[in-house]
Formats: sequence, structure tokens, C-alpha cells
Amino acid sequence: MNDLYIDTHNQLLNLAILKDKKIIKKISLDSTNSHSKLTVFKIAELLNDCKLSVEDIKNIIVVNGPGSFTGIRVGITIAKTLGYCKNINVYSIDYLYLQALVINSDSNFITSVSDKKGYFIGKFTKDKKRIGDYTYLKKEDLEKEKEGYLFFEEMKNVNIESVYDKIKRMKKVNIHDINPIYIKKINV
Amino acid sequence: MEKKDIFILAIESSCDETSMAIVKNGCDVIALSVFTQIDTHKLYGGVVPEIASRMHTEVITIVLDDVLKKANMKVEEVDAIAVTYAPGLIGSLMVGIECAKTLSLIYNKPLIKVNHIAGHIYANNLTNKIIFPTLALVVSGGHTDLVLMKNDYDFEVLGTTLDDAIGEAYDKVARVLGEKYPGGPNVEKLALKGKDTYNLPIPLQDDSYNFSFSGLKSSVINEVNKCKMKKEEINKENLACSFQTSAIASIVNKCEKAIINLKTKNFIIAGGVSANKYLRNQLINLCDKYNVNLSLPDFVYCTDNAAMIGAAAYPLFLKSDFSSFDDVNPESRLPLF
Repeated sequence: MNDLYIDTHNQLLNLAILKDKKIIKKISLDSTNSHSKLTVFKIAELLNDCKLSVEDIKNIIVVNGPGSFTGIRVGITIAKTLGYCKNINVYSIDYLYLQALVINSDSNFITSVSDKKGYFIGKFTKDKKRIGDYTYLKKEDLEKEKEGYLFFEEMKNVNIESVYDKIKRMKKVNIHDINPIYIKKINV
Repeated sequence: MEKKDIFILAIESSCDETSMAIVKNGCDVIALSVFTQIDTHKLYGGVVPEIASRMHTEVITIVLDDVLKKANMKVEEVDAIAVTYAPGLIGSLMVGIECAKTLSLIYNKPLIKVNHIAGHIYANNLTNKIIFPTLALVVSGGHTDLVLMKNDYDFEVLGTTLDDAIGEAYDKVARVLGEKYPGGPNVEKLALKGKDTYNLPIPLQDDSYNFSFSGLKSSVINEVNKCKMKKEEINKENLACSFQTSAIASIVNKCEKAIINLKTKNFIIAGGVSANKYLRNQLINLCDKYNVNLSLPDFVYCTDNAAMIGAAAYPLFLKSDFSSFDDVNPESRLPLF
């Protein structure tokens, strides 16, 4: 039983194939502005290297944001199409919570995803329960928000093996209802 | 041996419609699914790219499910996957492209990238088979081109707009007249109720095959301003009709010149503005006069839809013009010719 991990939420393209909860092959490359060009291409390469086909994939874990507007829609569109066509379970998880899952903190903490102008942040209790809504802050507003929390800069990569069981316990949702999380408001 | 039928699953998401179709042999529409976002964008007076991109992502698998159910087919049964890659909104195009690439990966089907404007031209094959050589008039929000096609994907541009495209001019006039989005069709509706009383000049009456609409648009603005200064109510219906009469006359004049000079016996029209009934009627009269075979695409295939992408992909399929996963990328501006 194999799983495919897709993370396109920032300038890195992180892909992995897991077998029995262990990563058997992964790709991590800087793909600034190239997620659309590279993601399917690299998934095909990864499957090929592992001598697997799409038929062998039983679950997909996909990062649904926040971060690169284009990036997350690339990952989600691919995951939804695979999930719909091949009846593959798709687990979508946001990167703020994903980081929270691997953090061991004895006080309340903040996980973050940064972009050019600021930070998406999520506040969590030490038991990894979310506090309030995720928000987007400009760089200069960050210090004030940090008060009372341990702040974690964005991790380049999360060891998906260590949180695999927790992700698999997440509630299953209808494939058509899987969508990116955006947080930022649309400017019209 | 009987020729094998070719089925193409086509995807179009270049602007505010998420559409998929299955087309047989480039001419028979087995199924068409169109999810339009027009009601959402109406609220903002025009297409908001970021909203369009989000909505494509939301509905992409729903549209796929719909088209397969309508066709009662499986993706396994099609021969190729076709997708619009340019021109259009990058964020919107991308959703269709990622879906197409993924389908190509899953089912090991060839991937065909199609130019949106070629799609509008080949929409004609869904109604009447295009006979070459033919003159093609491409009229849309971004195009006003008169093209000679001697064969498939063989485009010789005779003339183009020097400023605004015809659809753009309609939209700008709509704004001046206080009409809501989508402006073009609303101006056409107004024009239907009015008379050509303003006698606006017919643009660019020269020897070229080119077009120009910004001067005509300015004339409309001048008329509106004149009324404002005199504190008179503008007759919107008559002004819309006067604009339409002059704009279409300039297009039809250039088409007539091309028909006479090139002695072409076939004429096709393409693009969103080809749904304009006044333009269609004027071209019917013109082609009758010169005994030219005129093809008008069905209304349903004039606006953005994936069936036309399936039609345009067919000649590319026959040439085995396939693309790899890293070779299909969205481009906002990419001239077909």
C-alpha cells in the first residue's frame, strides 16, 4: 500500500512516496514559479523511479495552504483529479497544523508560513489545539502577536512519517469539497 | 478497413467558464459541460481573476464528473486529452492544465495543448465542416482579425485591429451608457430597440483590411457628453444602435473587400462577438450577394466552451502533435497568428 505526499504551498516542491508509513522516495526542489510546469512531471518521475503506477496509490496527503496562491491550487487540483478518477482517499491538511503536529512545546505556540510581505500564523495550545482563526500579518505586526507564545519560523519540510497516523485519523471529506485555504481576503 | 473514431476529452478554463467536453472526430459533440461563473463576476462589474481561479479549483472535478456522466463514457475510452493553454488568465488556465496533465498521467493518454483562438475558429466544425481555402473573421473581446486559411492551422492574417478589439469596444460603450457586465450583449439588446439616428462615422474606410474602433468609441462618449452639457436625456437605444451600425458596417466593408479581391468562396466567423445577431445577419446578406458559402457556429459554441477545444485538437491529434507534462504551461498572451 502506497501513499503520495504533495506539498506545493511555497517555493519548494515537496513530493514523497510512502510505503507502509515510511518514505521510500522523495523529491524536494526549489521550484519558484514552476509548480505548474513541474508538479505532474515530477510525480510521474517519482512513480517511475519507484516502479509504481497510479494504480498503486491508495492515499494522497496534500497540503492545502496557506501560502502561494498558485502553488496550493496546483497541488489541490492534481490531488482532486487523482482522487476522483482513481477513488483514492485524499487527506488535505494545512501547513500551519501540519507543523504544529511535529512540534513539541510545553507552552502555547505559533506556527507560521511566510511570504514576501508577511506571515500566515496559527496559534496552538501545547496540546496542539487551535486557538482562534488563522490570520495573515504584515511583518511589522508580528512582534505584538508573538506575546505569550513560543514562535516557530516556517519549517522547510515536515517529516510526514512522524505524523502519518495522526493524518490518517482525520475525518474523510467528499473529494469535490476539498479546496485550498486562502486566509487572505480578495482585493477587488 | 473502417476508420476508427477518435474521441477527445477537452478542457477549457481560460476565463470565467469551467468547461469540459467529449468530441468525436473533431465534429460531433458527445457531451458538453459548462460551469459559468458569470453571476459571481456580475457583482463586481467584470471578471475578477482571483475569484475566477478559486472557482475553477472548486468545480473542476464536478465538471469532470458531469461530462463523463452525460457522455456515459470513461476516461479510459478517449484517445487524447486536450486543454486550452493560452491566451487567458494564468491562474484560471492553470487549473484546466493541471487537471489535463493529471488525466494524461493516470490514463496514459496523449496530451494536446490548444490555443483558445484556434478553438473559436474550429467551433465552426461543430456546425458545418470548414472548407478550405476560407476567410475567417475572428471577433471577440481581444480580437478583430480577418484571416485567410488555406489549410488546417495555416493562418495568413490579412488585417487586424489597430486599437480596440470589437468586443472591447462594445464593453466600453456599455460602460459609457451605464450598462452592466456583460456589456457587449447588453449593448446589442439596446441597439435592437433603437434606430441609427446619430449617424456616427464608419471607421477606417481605407484600402487595408485593418479595423479601428477607438475613434468610434470616442464619438459615442462625445455624444453622451454633449447631452450632459445640454442637460438632455441621452437616447441610449438610438446611440447603441448608431454605434453598432457603424462598427459592424466597417467590419462588413472589409470582409466584402477581401471576398472581392481574393475571390474566396468560403467564409467562417469565430469568437464571442460572432453570437451578435446583427453581425450575423449582415454577413448572411454579404455572402448571399457574392454567392459565398457562409458558416456560422451555433450560438452555444460562440461563447467559451470546451467542445471547440476538442474540435481544434482533432487536426493536431491527426498530426500527433502531442506535448509532454513539462511542456504545457499557461500563457496569458500568445498570438495564434
